[in-house]
Amino acid sequence: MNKRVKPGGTVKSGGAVEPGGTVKSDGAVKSGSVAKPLLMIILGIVVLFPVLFTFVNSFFVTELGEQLAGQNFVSAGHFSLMAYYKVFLATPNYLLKFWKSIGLCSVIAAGQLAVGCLAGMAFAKYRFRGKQVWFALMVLFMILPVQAALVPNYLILSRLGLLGSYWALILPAVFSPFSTFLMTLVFQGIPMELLEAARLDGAGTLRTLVSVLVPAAKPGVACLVVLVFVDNWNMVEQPMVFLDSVQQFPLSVFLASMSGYNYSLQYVCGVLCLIPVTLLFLFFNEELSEEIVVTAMK
Amino acid sequence: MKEKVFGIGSAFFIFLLLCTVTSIVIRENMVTEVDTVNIEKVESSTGELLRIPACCIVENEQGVPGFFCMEETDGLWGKEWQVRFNPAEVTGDGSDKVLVQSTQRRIGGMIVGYSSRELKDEETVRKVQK
Repeated sequence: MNKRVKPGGTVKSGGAVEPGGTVKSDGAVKSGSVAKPLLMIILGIVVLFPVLFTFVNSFFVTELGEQLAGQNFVSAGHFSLMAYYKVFLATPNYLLKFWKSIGLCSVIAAGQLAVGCLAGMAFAKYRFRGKQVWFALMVLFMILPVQAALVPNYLILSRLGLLGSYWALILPAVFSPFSTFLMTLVFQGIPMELLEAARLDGAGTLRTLVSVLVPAAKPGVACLVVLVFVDNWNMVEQPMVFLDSVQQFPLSVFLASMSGYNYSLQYVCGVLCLIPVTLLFLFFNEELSEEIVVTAMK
Repeated sequence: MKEKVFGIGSAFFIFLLLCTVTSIVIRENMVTEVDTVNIEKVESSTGELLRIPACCIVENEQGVPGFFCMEETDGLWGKEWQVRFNPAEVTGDGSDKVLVQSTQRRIGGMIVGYSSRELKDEETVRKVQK
């Protein structure tokens, strides 16, 4: 009788397979081989349930009371694309907020990438006085919760006259210490020989960064872009504190303030809000997996 | 994988861009434009009367005369202008202006003088200066 053994599995003298394997000599499937995929499926359902729930219910018009009762997965209403029509065509308000949020997050991500790469290169590849102290301070500021820095940021932005403008969101986010911290760690993993070779070829500091360090640290850069984009895509506190008018609020705040209105509209807005982040994650999927593997091997 | 995601992402964003342009065009062309008029308050023995241009007086579906008031409301997408029909007793004063006494106690907002289309009660409108 042929026995298939999965990688890592060992065949016992009696034909039974050890934990990594699958089949016993009598053909009985071992519980471990079934439990693992089953657990993954259950976890997948748990993780995807809110997304599926939102997506399915976005096609159903429901009464508020029925939805609040929460008796069914698919609400008791009838199939309708009216909510999609309202969001996509009836008014440009939601889509304009969407574009505003995309622009805001893209500018912040690009800014953080630039600042993070420059500062990360300095911390990782140069020696200067007080380097360790500055880096420790950077880590300290990084672990501070956003709420703790809201008041000092508010006072500074007020002095600069930037309150009520999008610069009040962009500037503090661009100079967030997280990007510097991450890029320092990523650049530390790149051998100095690469930089020396670039210098011998006549490359300046900026050329070395753009043409040598950043391409070599592609997974780290992708990781930073995804994390920063997602972080700012979901920001709520900063717009509520730094912006004056409700019209200026990005999508994240708008979604939070939608409760109490038509539920199917909320679901459509939720679905639309998920798509850019999902696309970004899928686009950088290979780099993210690579970075996770490299980090795990360290 | 990357090319596929890039293709899907591009198609999605182009679709959203087209929807945005279309919805702006729809709003520009489909939402009724209204302009407001100045009102004068006149004291009389029967109470406070409003002196408004005769063109503001319209009849609703039941044939009741009245005028539309414009109010700023908190809609789902932020502040928006809505019109509300106010039934009124109209008395002419021999000019292009008429005296009206609203049957409703409180007249909120401004009175609609011009509208690009026939108005309905609680319709969302766009305010313009004519």
